[in-house]
Amino acid sequence: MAALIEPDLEFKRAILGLDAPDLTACYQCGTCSAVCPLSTPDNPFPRKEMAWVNWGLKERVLSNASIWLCHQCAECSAYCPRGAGPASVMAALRDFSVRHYAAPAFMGRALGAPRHLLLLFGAPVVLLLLLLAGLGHLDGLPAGRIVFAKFIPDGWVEVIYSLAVGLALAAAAWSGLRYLNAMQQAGQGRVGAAELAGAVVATLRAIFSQRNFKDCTRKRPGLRKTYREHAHRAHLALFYGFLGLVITTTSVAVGMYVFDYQEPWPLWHPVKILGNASGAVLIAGLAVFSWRRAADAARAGKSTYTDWLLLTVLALTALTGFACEATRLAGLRQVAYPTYFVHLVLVFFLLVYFPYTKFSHVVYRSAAMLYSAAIAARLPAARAAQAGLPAADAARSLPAA
Amino acid sequence: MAAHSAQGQAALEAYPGIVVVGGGIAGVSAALEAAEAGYDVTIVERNPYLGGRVAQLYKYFPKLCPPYCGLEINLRRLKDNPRVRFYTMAEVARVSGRPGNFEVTLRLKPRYVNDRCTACAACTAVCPQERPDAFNFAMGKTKAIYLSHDLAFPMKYAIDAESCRLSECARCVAACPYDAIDLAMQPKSVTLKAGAIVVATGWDPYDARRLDNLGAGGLADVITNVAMERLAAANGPTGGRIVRPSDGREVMSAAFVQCAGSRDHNHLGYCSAICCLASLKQAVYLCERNPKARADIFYIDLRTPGTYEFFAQKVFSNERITATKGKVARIGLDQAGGQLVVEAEKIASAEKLRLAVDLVVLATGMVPSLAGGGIAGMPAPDSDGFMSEGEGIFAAGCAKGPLDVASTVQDAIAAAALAVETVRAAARG
Repeated sequence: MAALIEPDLEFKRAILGLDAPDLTACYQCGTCSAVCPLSTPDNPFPRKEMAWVNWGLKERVLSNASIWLCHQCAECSAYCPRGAGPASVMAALRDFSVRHYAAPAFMGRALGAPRHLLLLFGAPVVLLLLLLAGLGHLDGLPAGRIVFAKFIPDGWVEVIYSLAVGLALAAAAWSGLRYLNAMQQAGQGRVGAAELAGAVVATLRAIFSQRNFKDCTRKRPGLRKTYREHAHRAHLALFYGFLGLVITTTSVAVGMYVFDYQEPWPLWHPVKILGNASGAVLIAGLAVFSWRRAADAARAGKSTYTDWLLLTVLALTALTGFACEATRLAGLRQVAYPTYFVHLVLVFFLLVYFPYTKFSHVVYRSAAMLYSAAIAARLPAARAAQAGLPAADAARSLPAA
Repeated sequence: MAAHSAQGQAALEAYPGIVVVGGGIAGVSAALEAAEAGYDVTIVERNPYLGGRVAQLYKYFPKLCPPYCGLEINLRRLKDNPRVRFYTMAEVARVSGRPGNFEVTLRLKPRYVNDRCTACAACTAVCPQERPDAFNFAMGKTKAIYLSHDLAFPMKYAIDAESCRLSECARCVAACPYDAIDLAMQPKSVTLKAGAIVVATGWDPYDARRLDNLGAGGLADVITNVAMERLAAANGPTGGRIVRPSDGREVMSAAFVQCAGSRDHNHLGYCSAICCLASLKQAVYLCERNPKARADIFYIDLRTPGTYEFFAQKVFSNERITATKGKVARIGLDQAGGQLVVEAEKIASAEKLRLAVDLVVLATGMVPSLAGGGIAGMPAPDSDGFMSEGEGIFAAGCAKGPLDVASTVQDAIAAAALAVETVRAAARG
């Protein structure tokens, strides 16, 4: 069957430039797919992705679930006989794909390179300054006991941030649907809405247990060092730390608006304890990831701008959050209010720009997991149970000489 | 061999000799070529026997004939030629001098057995100590006093000093009817004069224990291709029955893992040139031996250069022999614990295969014996351990690069011709 291939060399160059310079060394042996603890009999990766990138088949590679099913354990890079760095290629593909599916596209470009950083931080700064000017709070800091709501009233924060984050969520949902649609068209075939709905529980269980990260270390092919042994525990810390902070914030909002229980809440309050503990766990996870990225850079593959951007913004958000609390309790008025301002700017960056940063993996990875869970549910039960063992008998002759 | 005239013979006597380092097929071929041209040759061999790796092979590809056949003819030529001398259990410690006038210092390990040995085996009957059978890649054991294999040349026992308690035991000395055992033998140093040197140090199999994802060392039924030759050989550890090392069951299915540690920057960066053909050969004899057996060969590229392609085509006409493009990169035990499961991506259809088999043969490559060192006073080997030539020093066979036996013999003869030329040029002054 004839097939017209339209190579997109710009795409290949872009991936090469995203710290995956060795991908052209690949000689398609499939070691990577065989050592991968996560790839399945029906959708082995990353060998075919290496070929697709080398051939410049952009749409095909970006419409496969595999790029997000990969959890970057880097076994493939450790065992690759050619040093082609498949794990780095998969990371670069995720990086690229965030921009590819970004809506609007210019936001994807803006978050993809450091030159727009000033503008991106400038937007929430100007927004908050306008708000402060409107409230007449630019002349001086509020006097008396430090209550952040006296500086920037919670209601305004809720309104502005809810609107902005709502827009971001809509954009993320749109992007996620585009990716899902691309998988439906090109990946392993169409799955119906009912099938997707049926896969939700399995997907959520995988997400809440962070099972894929666990399998990365549990199903290792051998003893070779990958420099990614920390990934499961450190990502558990990030996941539950962040989730704890989301629950904290939601609880505070409910407390304020439903029960009129105004801030600041005492330190012994269970919600406050949850918030502080979650923040600490989050920072610990970030510290491990940052340290390993720096320490193992030469051996574990390089980190890109977008890797560091998310780590840094998350860390600064958490740290300024703690700084707000500490300076408030210490009564340092001159420091506490400006720190709160900075904290709000960072929160804006983190939550409003999330569809365009690495944070968007919560959408894309979930979509890929949902889609492949729906595909997996289709397999005859017997096949799924024995996970393969088909005889290697189809290619019973020499390849065409 | 044409007889030399008396005058020519007298002139040849004045020529310095040639030292051949290594007594495998390359060394023996080079030595015979030079000796039959009338030059004195000394072979220096590290093992207690001559024949090297070829002595361990069960069959040659592509003819599937027994390698010992040709080796025996060569050893007969060697026995009949007074110009060839050889040292076994000897290694070259140092080389000095120039072409035409080398000094080669040997270190001789004590054999503890002298020339009176008739290989009657009275010693092994009383020997209480055992050692891993090195000739059979540690599949099975021998006594500390042993004959390397039943066709060994010289047909003389040797004692493994690492396993023997020597004078503390000495039961073999009492048992030997020929007074052939001398436990007082000491290491010796010998210096030879040489006009030229042929380096035919050959190769060792890659250490499969380093292939941590391929189960070697941890899974009993994962063996190397060289071990497979011993398993099939009539004088091997199982008497030629191809059975699973773990439980002695006949092998009904085998997976051949090509490029096991070859063309791999984590292991050997190069292709060893023979492993694809060796696996094809082994698949053939497995299926011949057992009419129900199956063989699955997993490869990156099947390398069957030149007319070996016809051999490959013949092999694949057997429908019980299958080749799948896709490298095996994971081996485990199946749930029942009996069979091995090899995993590879079948490249043609982009599916992950899991195939249960009785035996896995790792097609491991060749590591030049000079890797990790070289010989003092000789040109240093390259980063992979292969030897390039120096003035008056000529590498032959697998010391120079991975080769099959036929090419090795040609290469050895060429090296012998160059050595002879050097000696003649030096003698002319």
